[in-house]
Amino acid sequence: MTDTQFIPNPAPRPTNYLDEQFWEHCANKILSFQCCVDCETWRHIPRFMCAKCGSPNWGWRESHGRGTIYTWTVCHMPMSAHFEKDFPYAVLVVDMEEGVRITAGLRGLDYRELKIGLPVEVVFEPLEGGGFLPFFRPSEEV
Amino acid sequence: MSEYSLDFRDKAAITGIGETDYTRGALRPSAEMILESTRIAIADAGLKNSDIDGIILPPVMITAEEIAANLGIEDLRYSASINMGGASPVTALQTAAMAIAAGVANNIVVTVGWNGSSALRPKPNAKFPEQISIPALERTLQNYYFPYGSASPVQMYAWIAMRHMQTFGVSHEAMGAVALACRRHAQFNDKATTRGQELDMEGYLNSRWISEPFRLFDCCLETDGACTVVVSRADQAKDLRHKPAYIMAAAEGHPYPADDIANRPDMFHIGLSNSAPKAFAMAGLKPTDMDFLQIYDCFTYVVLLQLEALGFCEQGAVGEFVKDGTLEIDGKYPMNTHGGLHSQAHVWGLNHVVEATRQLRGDGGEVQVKDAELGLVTGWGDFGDGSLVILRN
Repeated sequence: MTDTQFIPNPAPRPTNYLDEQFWEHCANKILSFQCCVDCETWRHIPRFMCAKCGSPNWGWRESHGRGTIYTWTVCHMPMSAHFEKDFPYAVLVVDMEEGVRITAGLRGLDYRELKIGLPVEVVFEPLEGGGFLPFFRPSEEV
Repeated sequence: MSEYSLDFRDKAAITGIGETDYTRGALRPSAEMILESTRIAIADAGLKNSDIDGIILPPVMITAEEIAANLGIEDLRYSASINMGGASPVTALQTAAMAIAAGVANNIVVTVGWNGSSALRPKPNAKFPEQISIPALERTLQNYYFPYGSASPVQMYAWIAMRHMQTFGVSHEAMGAVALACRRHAQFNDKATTRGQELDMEGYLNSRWISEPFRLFDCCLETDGACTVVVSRADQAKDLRHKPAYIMAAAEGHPYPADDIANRPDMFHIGLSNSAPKAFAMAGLKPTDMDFLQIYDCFTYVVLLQLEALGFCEQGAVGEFVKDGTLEIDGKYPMNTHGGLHSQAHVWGLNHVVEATRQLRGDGGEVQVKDAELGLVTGWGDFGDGSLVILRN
């Protein structure tokens, strides 16, 4: 299918303890984001400082796991053999209720029905070799 | 916007240009190709290797030290690496002009080269396979994009393009207008990979999906090759071999946050949205003053986003702007008269700078823009970094 092997293994590769903790929470099927202790601003991707107030004080907070579709792409050229089973597959940007956005895969909906603003909720899927990855499916709540 | 000093306006000029052949399957090291294009550029300027006292390049494939050692430059007075992906070469022109205006160096080589085709598909028996890495963005990619099968710029830029398209109703034909202009111009370029492969709107629209909304013919080429320009002191440039292309203004810009596309307050506020007003203010010009445009065209929609950021039209109106051949050689703003990354070659857009210089020398051949006196070149790289240079003859 493809002569390139960009992502031989889809497992996240933490490069510091912030990334590691984010993925440890996911491994327990909890989606959490950092929140500034001083100004209560949520943030993602994980960072050492609050970009809004400059504070280095932060903690993890569990997300409600709900959001809406902000944008997406539909990949017709899988980046490695691992992704061929879901081919073609959508990669979403989800606008979370907490005010951060997260990239994730789509479940439970034909990608042709994607539209901006569609309500979605998190669902965890086991990752080969351990851990869980958050995906998003259409919200069941009205 | 705060005040900007005009210290480097018109203080430097492009005096030499050099290119290798652009191929797929070069089978030689990037470093060797970089040195070949550099030799050609220095000779084109009418300079000697020992006249070069500065080197600026992206942080991959070869070091400034290695180039200096090959050229026999015993006193390299200035070197820098620009880490902005495909925006690096145009940003390097800003850096070169600043260094020259400050008196740090007199003749600076700006170069880039890679095995952009071969490194992605090394032969099984390759003794020294080359790799392509994106040092600035590895953390975001490996943790937050790769797990979902998003590893290539075609997928990540598609997030911006899809939202823009859905929000403003821009048509696929508008994307096609960019592809067709590049392909048409490439038919007149000796080094263009797609020379002899004409493209019409039907052929464009029938090409297969890569990552929606991008089709195959929205995507640029993958190229093995190298490209170099020499930037010299303006007061010495006029005595060299060719008519100089003066750097009137240049600026670099970064989107916010630059290391993650998903969490931008405004996804359409790209690096060029920050750099364009600064460069136009420095030049004392407006977009409509330009005789030609060389726009970084890794993907067609990236060109549309940049046309809006440059100020050629209101946000969302770019579909109207590009229709009826605006970007073609007989249109109002001829763009990528060499064929661009889309149809000539992908050499990180330094080939756009070479083409702009040719146009300002009057050496554009069959795609010479009549009476060309002013032109711009943009760079786009990483997650939407953007740089702009405005050149005059």
